[in-house]
Amino acid sequence: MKAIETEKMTFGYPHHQILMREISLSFEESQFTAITGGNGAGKTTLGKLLAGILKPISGSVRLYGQDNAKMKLSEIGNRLCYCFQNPDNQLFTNSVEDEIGFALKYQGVNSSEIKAKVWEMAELFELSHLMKSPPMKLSYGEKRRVVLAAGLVLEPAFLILDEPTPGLDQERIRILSEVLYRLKRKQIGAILISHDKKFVEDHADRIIVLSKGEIADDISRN
Amino acid sequence: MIFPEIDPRIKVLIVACLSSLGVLITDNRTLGLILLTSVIVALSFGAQMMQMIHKLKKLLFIIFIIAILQSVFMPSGETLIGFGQIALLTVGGLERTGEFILRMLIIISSAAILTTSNQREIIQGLIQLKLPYELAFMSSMGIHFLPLLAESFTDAITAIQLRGVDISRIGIKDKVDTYLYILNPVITSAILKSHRIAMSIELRGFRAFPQRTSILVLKLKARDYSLMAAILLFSGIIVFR
Repeated sequence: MKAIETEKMTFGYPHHQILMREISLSFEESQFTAITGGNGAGKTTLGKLLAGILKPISGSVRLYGQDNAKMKLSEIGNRLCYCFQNPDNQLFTNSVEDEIGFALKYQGVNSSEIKAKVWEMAELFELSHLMKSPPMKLSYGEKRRVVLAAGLVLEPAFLILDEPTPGLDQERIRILSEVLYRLKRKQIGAILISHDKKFVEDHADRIIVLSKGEIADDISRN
Repeated sequence: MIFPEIDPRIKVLIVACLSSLGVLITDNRTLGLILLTSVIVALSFGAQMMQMIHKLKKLLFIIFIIAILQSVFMPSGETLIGFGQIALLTVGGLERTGEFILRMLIIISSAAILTTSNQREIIQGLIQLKLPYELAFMSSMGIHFLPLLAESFTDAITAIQLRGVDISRIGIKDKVDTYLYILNPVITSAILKSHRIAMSIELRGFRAFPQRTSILVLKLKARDYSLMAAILLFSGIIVFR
């Protein structure tokens, strides 16, 4: 099944030139696709369009068959996990513990289960010693791990990770890789927007190369 | 735009006069005249009033609700609508509602006048008005941080929704809790950003000394003096009529 599908998707900011013209792509729900390309190629813009944060000016983006222009961000958030390139954009609570468990509280999960899930994620991403710390005051690498933990605790059906490895040391990249392998075994798909060649080669079933808002290459690695 | 490139000091003077009149005057007809004047001035300076109204529509709604509540809770004069002994709508209450709404609209429309100059020109205007350099610089940084604060708040709301939480569907209490919850980290984030900016400014050797010179120097022209005389005359007539 297709997790995300775009059809002749065109995008540009109001009063600016068109950044992407008639992009048609589809992403299988259990496939790992890497999106690469130079600075300013449009990788983050494409990621935000796929996640419904930006809306195309023409064409469509469908999430599990549903037009994402007609979906609320919260509905999209229930189906996929999007991690911003800059973790500061995604941290909004007063402690790491609150940050990871925030959405679970609104899903009606009981407090003991929230605590168990939050600690499981904290241990996985080695955040247990930072649980009471304000996320804003953490280092860049720690913030990235908090964002990943907060997204993955919701057990999403699909992931979009925008540059997940910068700021992570080799050991933390290995941990992230293990988490991704585990998700892949559960048939959960992902889009990895990344410059990290090794990370891309380790995980991607397909590599899309973007250049100036156009698809320069689309390589299947199966 | 009828008056392009008006000196920002004149705009500051016009805003000071119009908003002071808006606070001092209590007669609704005169307030209406002041509002009309401030709207005409704002439009003739090229203010994007419709855009501003669109941006402030939530604030305008709150002003309207406060005005209605004021009318209900501060009754006076003849009762227009009542429930037994309780007066719901009175002539005096209605007058006060009008006064409050007109006052707020005068402040908003006169603030729109300032949006027609860029931030750099306004700060230079304040410096040339002999405002201490440190205060002018602080105002400049404050203006710089307003959009950053708004952006952080929007990012936080987007991030919450992307975690599957529909803010529009949660109850009022939870909604208020959520907004209060994110206020602290948003402000913390702005303070941390301001520390980084301060550090970067100092690393470039900048110090907010009053002896600093500026490439931009504002000079009053004949039309600026005419506008200054016009607004002072208008204010005088309104106050001493």
